[in-house]
Amino acid sequence: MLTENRFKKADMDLNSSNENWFFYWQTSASLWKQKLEELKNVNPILIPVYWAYHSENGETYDFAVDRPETNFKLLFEIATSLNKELIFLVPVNSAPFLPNGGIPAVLAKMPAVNYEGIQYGIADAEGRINKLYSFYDPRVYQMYRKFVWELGHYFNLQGISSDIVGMRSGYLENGKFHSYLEDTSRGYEQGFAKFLAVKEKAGSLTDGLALKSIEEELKLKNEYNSMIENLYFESARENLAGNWTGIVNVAFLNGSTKNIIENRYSQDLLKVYNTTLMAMEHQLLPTGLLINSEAKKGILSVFFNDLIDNTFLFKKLKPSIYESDYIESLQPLALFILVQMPSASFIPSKPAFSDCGLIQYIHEQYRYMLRFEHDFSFTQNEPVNTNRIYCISGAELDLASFNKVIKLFLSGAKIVLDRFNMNPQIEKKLELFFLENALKREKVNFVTIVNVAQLGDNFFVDFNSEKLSSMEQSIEQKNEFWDKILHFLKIHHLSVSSEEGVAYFWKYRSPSSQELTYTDVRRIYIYNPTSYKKRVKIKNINNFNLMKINREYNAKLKSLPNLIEIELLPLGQMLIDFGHYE
Amino acid sequence: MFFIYRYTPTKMMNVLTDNKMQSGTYQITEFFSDETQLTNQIVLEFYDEYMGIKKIGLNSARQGLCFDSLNELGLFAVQFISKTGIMRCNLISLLEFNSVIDETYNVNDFFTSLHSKGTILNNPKMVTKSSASSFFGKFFDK
Repeated sequence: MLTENRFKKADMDLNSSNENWFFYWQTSASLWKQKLEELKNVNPILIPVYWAYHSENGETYDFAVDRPETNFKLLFEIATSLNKELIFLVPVNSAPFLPNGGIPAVLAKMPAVNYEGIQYGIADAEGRINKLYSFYDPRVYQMYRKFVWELGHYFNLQGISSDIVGMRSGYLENGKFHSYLEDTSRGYEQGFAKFLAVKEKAGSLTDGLALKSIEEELKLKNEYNSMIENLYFESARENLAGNWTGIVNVAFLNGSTKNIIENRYSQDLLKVYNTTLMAMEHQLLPTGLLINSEAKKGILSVFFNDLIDNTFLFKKLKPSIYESDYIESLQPLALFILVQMPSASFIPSKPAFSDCGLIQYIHEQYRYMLRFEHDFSFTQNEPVNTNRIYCISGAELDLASFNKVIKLFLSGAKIVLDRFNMNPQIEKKLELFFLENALKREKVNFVTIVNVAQLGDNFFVDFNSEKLSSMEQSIEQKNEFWDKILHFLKIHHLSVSSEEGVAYFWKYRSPSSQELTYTDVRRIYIYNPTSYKKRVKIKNINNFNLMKINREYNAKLKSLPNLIEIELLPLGQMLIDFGHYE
Repeated sequence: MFFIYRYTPTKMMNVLTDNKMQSGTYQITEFFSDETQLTNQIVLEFYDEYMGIKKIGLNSARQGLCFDSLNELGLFAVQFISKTGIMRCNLISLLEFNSVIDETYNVNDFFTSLHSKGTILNNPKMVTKSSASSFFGKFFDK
C-alpha cells in the first residue's frame, strides 16, 4: 500500500473561488496573461459571455472597440500561448451571477417570476441580489438575436476557433432542474395569450379559448415554453454556427430566490455536497459560483476541484471527443443508467422506477451512482460499459428506441426492462427477439414474474412493476426484490456506511499497463466538512484490492479482515484507490 | 418571524377569460425566523395539531399550510409565536415579498426591509410580560 501526494492545507485554497470559470470583465486585459498563468492545471477555461458588458443599449456592440477587456481575440491568443483551451459559454437565458441576469439594463423592464409566484432575486457570492428579467419579453428576444449575430460576426472576422457552448442556466430544487426561463410574469402570460389566440385561429384548439382543464393548460404552456426556448437556442446556434457545439445545462448551487432565506445564517455544507452530486445524476454541470466565497474556502473548494475536474469538463463540453480519449482518466462512476423522457418541471410527474422502489434503493445502496438519460443518444458515442445496468421503462419505448435497447443488449449491456404499460406490439417484438435468437429465459416468481435471459456475461431482465409498485409492498420487500435482481446481474461494488455529515463519491478509470490484473480502478473521495470526528466503513471488499491512499488529510485508515475503517477528524479528507477484479 | 403567504383562488383563472375570483385559499409558502432556528417539522407539527389533522407522515408538507381566510392565518401565526416564545411575526403577501426583492440590492438590506413589511402581529404573552415589567406596569401591578 502506497501513500502519495500527502495533501497540504495550502492546496485547499487553490482556485477556490471560481472553479474553471474566468470572468474577463473583472480583470484588466493587461493582467489576463498573469491571471491565466496562475490557474495551474486548470484546463479548459470557461468564459461566460456577459451580454450587457458588450452593449449598454442592446443596439451597438463593443468587441475590442473601446474597452480592451472586450477583446476576445487577445484572450484567445493568450490562452493558446499558455496551452490552455477556452470554451465560451453564451447564455440562452438569464445568468444568475450577473446583474439583471446579464442582459443590458435597457431591457431589464419585466421581472421574471417563478412558478411559485416568487420574483427571481438570486444572491451572488458577495451577497448582492441579482434580479432576473423575463426572456418572454419580445424586445429581449429581438435584441438577443442582434447580440448573437454580432458575437458570431466578431468570432468569424477574428478567426477565433474556440468552442462556443449555449449556457442554459437553472437550479435544482426537489430533485428537478428548473431553468430560469420558467416564468409566470405578466410578459409570459401576455405571450401565452397570443400563442393561444394563434392556435385558435389555426383551429387547433378544440374548444376555442376556453381551456377544459388544468392539465390541458399545463400541456399548452409546456408547448409554448419549448417553442420560446427553441427560438433562443436556434438564434444562438445559427449565428454562432462556426464555433457552436451545443447546449449545456448549468445547475447553480444556491440558485433559487429561497436560498437568500435558507442561507441567512450559514451555508448548509452537506446540502451543497448533496445537491452537487444530484446535479451529476441529472447530467448537469454543477457550479458553486453563487456560494459565498468564505463558505467555499477550504474543503468545499477541494470537493469541487476533485469532482468537476478537467476531464469532466472536457467530456461535458466537448461532445466530439470520444470516450476512448479519456480511458485512463478518472470519471464519475455511474453503475445505473435510467432512461427517462424529459418532462416540464412544472408538470407533476414521478420518474420511472420510483414507485417500484429502484430509485430509492440505488440512492441508499449505491449513493449517486445513478445517471438519468433523456434519450438513447448515449448508445452512439459511448462504448457499452458492461458493469452498468441500463434501466428502461417499457412505457416510453417506441420501435426505434426498442431497437436501440436490443442493440445495447447485444453489445454486452445489462438491461432491466419494466414492461408496465408497454405497447403490446413492442412486447410482441421482444418475445420474437428471444424466440428468433433461441435465447432461453428463466422465469422466477418473486413478488412478480421476472424473466431473465443470458447471453454470455450480459443479462436481459424483464418484469412488470405493477404488483411491486402497489402500496401493499413495503419498502423492505422492494429492497429485497432489488437485492435479488442485482445479485443476478452480478454488479460488484464496495458498500459504504458513513456517519451523518460525511460526503463521498466514486470515480473509476481503466487500469494502466501495470494494473492489468484489474478490470477497472475505483477511487473513493471522502470529506468530513463538520467540526466533529466521523467514521466511515467500507465493506464487501471481495473482488476488490486496496491499492493505495492518494490523499490523507486529518484522516486515518484501519484495514481489518473484509472491512476498512476510516476515521476523519474535522475537515478530514481521504482518497483511496481500489482495484476491481472479476 | 416571517410568514410569506399567497392567495390562490379555488377556481384556476384562465388568462383569457375574465373569471372573477370567488373563494380561495391563503397558503403559507415560506416561514422563517431570525430569532430562533426553526425546522419545518416544528411548524408542520404545530399546523397539524392546530388544524386537528391526524399525523399522517408529512402530508401537510405536501399540501401546504392552507387557511380559508387571512384572519385564520393570522390566528394561527399568533398561536404559533405564543407557543414558541417568539416576540412578533410579519405576515407578508407574495406581492409584498416580491416588492422587497425589487427594492433591495443586497442580502442585508433584504432582511432589513422585510421587517417593515406586511401585517405585524405581536406575541400577546410577551406584550403583557413586557408591559408588566415596564415602569408603569410595575407601578400599576402593585
